[in-house]
Amino acid sequence: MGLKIKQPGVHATIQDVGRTGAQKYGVVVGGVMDELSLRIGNILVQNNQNEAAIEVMFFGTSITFTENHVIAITGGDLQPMMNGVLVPMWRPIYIKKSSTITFKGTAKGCFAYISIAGGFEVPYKMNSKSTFTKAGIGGYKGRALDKNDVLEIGSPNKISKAIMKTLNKSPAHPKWYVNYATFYGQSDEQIIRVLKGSEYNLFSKESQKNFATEEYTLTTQADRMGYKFDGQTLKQSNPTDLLSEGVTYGTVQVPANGKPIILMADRQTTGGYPKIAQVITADLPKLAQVQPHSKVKFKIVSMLEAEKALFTQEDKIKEIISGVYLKAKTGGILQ
Amino acid sequence: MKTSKLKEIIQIIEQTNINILQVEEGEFKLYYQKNDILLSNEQSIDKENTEEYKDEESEVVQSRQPMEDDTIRVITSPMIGTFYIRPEPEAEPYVEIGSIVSVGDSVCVLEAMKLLNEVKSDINGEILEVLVNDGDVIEYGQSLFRVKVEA
Repeated sequence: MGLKIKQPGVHATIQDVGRTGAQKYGVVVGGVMDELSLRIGNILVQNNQNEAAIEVMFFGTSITFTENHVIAITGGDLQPMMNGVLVPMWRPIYIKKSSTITFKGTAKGCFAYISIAGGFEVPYKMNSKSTFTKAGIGGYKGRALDKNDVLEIGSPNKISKAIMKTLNKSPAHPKWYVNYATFYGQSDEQIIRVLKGSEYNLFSKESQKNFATEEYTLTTQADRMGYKFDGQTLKQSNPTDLLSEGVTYGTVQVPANGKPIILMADRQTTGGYPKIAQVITADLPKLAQVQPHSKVKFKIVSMLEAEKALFTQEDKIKEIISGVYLKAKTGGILQ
Repeated sequence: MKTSKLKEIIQIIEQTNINILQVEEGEFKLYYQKNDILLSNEQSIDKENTEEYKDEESEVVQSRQPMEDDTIRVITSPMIGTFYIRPEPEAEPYVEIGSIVSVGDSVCVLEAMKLLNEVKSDINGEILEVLVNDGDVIEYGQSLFRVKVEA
């Protein structure tokens, strides 16, 4: 045994980086909304970066641990409490048997991740542990976690065990944490960088200008499949019908009502709406954590800038990998 | 790689301030780390600090030890890193001038390798002065705060 779901909350699922490679058969990729948080969480507990975690949406999820474990909580600040006390995020934490972690609310962001040393023992379906609830595949029995579900945990690797041993002695968490602010903006108004989409030129000059300069508000019609925004209407100069073609995470579609929809993790594999833009990979985690009713601004950047942003992000992740590894190796996990 | 070349590399490294070296040459990979980095840092930098600050501010030399006026002490840095007074950019600062700190309270964070390391006070007292600026790169043992020790 490893842990038991006390309360499922709004929506909690097992997710890894997604079910890739089968889109040609119409299989949805799915996976985490915020891949960066998943990867960092796994680095903190020394799992493979694509190991599955529990993705908690908004609040209410409560989990009781039936053994001693090392976990890390990353992603949005959903105010995780351990036995009633706020528990720090973005660092490894030693959890004692029969402790309960509860997510109280949405201080910042929408999705938090619980990574656990050893990972979750759920079967791989088409090379992924991700839950895709609409099709009922992957994760725990193909569905969102529910009350009294019991999840088995894999055996942690050597370094995780070393972390566990060190943290076993109090304090239960180290004095250091990942500088997450370097990845996620802090202000209320987020800038989301995009590339021009394949149908960008079909939109009127005015719509092109509005898209790049006006604020867009995330509506409550936002889920793991897509985020619908409200703001200045985007119109094509000469409305044309398109054949459906491949879409991906971050594709900005504009349906006939002129309000943009951004496709997220559980997106369909193809789409027929004109694509005004494509969110750059480096800004997808930031986008995933935008709360409904929050405003964003889209900024059009070049492919070069998009690549640079991604390389910079990957460099930072490499630094974190080395930093955590050194802390674990030198016994400096508590320093 | 020839043993003589390896020996030469190690000798060169030993004479520098470099603590960790990684070399890759085709199939050959070398990872070299000096014995107990923290210890050697402590020795070398403490020495540097002593020399560097002797003329300017004699109290800095006494880092970690009570000063001549033993009602005033300094909190020194336990590591190398970039200094931030806030846990995250839009948060309240850990301490300000006039803040009362107790042993074990966090007073700032130092960033190294994208990890923010909380620095805890080892003194009970009142913050009199912040001796460094947000974003400064801090050396091991450098003085961070002047604290008036609680009577």
